Amino acid sequence: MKRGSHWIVPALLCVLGNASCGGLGGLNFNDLFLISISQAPSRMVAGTKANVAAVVSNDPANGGVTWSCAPATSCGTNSFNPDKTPSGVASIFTAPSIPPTGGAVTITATSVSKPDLSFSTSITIGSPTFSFYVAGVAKNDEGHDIYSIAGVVAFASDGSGTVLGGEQDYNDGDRITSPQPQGDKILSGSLGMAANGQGTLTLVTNNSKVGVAGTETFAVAFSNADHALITQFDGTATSNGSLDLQTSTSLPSNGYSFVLSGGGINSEPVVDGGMLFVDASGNFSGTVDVNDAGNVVLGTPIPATAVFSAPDSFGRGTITGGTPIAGLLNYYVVGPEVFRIIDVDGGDTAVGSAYGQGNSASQFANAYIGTSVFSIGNSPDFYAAAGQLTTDATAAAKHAANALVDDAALATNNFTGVGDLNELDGALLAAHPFTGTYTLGANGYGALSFAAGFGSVATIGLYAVDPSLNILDPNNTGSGVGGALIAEMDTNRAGIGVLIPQTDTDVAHFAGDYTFGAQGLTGAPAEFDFLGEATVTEPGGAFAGTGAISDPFGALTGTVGVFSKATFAATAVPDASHAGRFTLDPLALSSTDFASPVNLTVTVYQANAGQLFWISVNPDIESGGSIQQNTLASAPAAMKTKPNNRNN
Amino acid sequence: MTSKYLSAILIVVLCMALARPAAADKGRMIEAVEDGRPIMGEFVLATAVAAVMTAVVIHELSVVLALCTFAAPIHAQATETTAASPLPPWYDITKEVTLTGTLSSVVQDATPEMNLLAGSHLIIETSAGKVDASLGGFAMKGEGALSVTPGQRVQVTGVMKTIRDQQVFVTRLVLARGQVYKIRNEHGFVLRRLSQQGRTNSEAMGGRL
Repeated sequence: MKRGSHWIVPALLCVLGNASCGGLGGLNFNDLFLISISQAPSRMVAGTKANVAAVVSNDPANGGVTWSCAPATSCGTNSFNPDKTPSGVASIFTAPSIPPTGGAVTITATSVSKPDLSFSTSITIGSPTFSFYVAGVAKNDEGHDIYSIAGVVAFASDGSGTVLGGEQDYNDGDRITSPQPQGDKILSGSLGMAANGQGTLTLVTNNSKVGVAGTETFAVAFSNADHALITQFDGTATSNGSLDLQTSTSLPSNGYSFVLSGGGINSEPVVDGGMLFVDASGNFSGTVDVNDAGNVVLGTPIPATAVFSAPDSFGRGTITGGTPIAGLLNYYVVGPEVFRIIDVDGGDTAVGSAYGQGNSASQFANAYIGTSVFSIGNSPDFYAAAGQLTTDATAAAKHAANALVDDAALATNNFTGVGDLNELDGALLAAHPFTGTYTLGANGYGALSFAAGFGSVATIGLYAVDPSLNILDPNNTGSGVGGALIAEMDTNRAGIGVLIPQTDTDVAHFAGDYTFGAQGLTGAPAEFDFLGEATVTEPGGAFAGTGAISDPFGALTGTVGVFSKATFAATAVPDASHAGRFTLDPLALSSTDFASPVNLTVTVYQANAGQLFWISVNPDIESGGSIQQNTLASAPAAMKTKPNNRNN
Repeated sequence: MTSKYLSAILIVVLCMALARPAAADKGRMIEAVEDGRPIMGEFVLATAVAAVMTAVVIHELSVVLALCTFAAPIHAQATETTAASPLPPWYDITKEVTLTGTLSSVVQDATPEMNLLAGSHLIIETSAGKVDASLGGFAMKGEGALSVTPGQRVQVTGVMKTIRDQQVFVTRLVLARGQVYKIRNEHGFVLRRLSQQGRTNSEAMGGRL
């Protein structure tokens, strides 16, 4: 298939050998006519677009390439725009609207100057189903019930954004819980997209108690074709979560770490964390930590009766058998190593995620937690926190060199760091230094213990995930991978979050296109959420974005409503004392739909160029969320020509 | 042979004595207690000191110390799971007090200009002066909400704390009109009010005000 690949071998030899490339019987490799596809996705969703590019070397005519796609019956005749490109210049490839037989197409770049030379690659084309979850506060019941939704939605393959169906579970732990075991059916709906990845997802369900007479509306902000941040956006509730391409509907298997957050029998904050191991039959074992509004129980074993049912065609199944989390849980598969979990008991609610441990299961060690950035919080518990830390992961090495050195550090490693924390009913800390110790067992189960506290934060459960998984964007295995799920296990606070490796604090790298989202609480107290897309320009740190604000209580903006045309403006100022920390003061939220701008005082912690966490530290407004690199915005002109299509 | 036994005994005794403060410093050691006094501890330490003073095997002391270095963390690890939170509880129920007074004002939703903690507040005139009783965000919202007016007598149970440089009475219970309203749980977590239909949100616990 890859007819051009044999040209790559001598080219690689030339480079790797650092030779003059004039050898092999006088053959000068530098003069070889080479062609290769330098940019193409390995997988696409039907009907979506992606940039593809080919490089031609040593073509005196600079003829570029002609693009083609096979099988022609699936690809049609207008797959590429343009269908002829110069070397190194991208063409926009539109995937077939219906997945082809065999599930893949082959794209080929053929030299214009030497038509007998070409290079081909295969792209898998899938039907688009997306798994989603949100957690927040519902307004349509008593006005402040913690609620959760998890589900799967199927879209038409023609790129129109038409919703074909799906399933979901809704639970406010009080009066509205989707009927079990069937849950809610998603009957129809649509995904309308704007140019930069923002859009609106409407789901028409068969449950008249959810949304507006059964129809839920969500604001979405895609960061790539597979992943979006999502907020309920119909005034009946406000929440924050994730919408991710579903790449598997199989029964989960092997080791996972998980966290959930929700409300208990008195609608008090409850969080869970732990690990589980699922066998091929769905039986599972594991350990659960629970913090029910300060009543902390650690390390409860999952009973032997616990079992995952086989998932249905949407990847939805049940978890029964009396886990310490809830009487009845449902799960929705995202991919081979990720699934969402939702509590569907009538008297309480929670939603969360489980991430696989991969080949690292039973092989974790303290050294796995190195320099990291974390975000933790819980709007129902009035707080958000973010920070960065470095660990003393060298104790074991010291001990290996000298058995009498630093024995105590074998049991716990040390960390130091700096963080921002906003407890609306407690501490308000900015760039607050902290120290502590941590443990991480071979099974990935551990804890962070803050020596003198970090506000009210003292003990955080630590649940390590596969070092090749991106926690924020579970379909992205290429960057921002590794880390741990975290859950606060104090009598003082209950919240969940993530801890991910900090690999790049270069100020200049916090630049380009980003998708952002946050969940917050005002002093009222009432929840609000927002999301959007922004461009950060360096030097200078100008942050300019547009997005949607869900403020159904009017607590943030002073106006009850949802606002789809808000602007977000700030300047990201690096903290000279703490590389990786920025302040945005203010982050101005404006719209013609509410009276006056809202100025948030925001701190950002940079894990890498594509993953950052932010927190507002206003005395009367707490919020926390993430900023994620947006790769959709790279071809805005093409997207504008067909606004209902997502782009890559 | 006898001297070797003596050495071994000395090693064990001295290791136990030295291991005790090492583990105790980490806050991890659990000691058996009899009549309120440690079974081991002072006795062991005294024995160790006496034994060491009478020992003439000075040349073995380095061995003793080296072995004790290994002994200390064995205790520490064995008791590690008993490690307590490094912080005192945010809401320390052992410091709860009950105050009675007359409402001078009621704040349903604190605004930033009021310079109060988030949520609802009762400003209570007590015999000791005015008290800002913080109720959190949900005591006065929804079905079954606390409804009180200035001039009314109320009784509040909670903990006085300094939060963001302000003296605040973090309120767990409010007794008004014969009803006890549970605002927070025993750890100080604010409870969101729910309907009577959903679950009990106020408890009649006797008393009349």
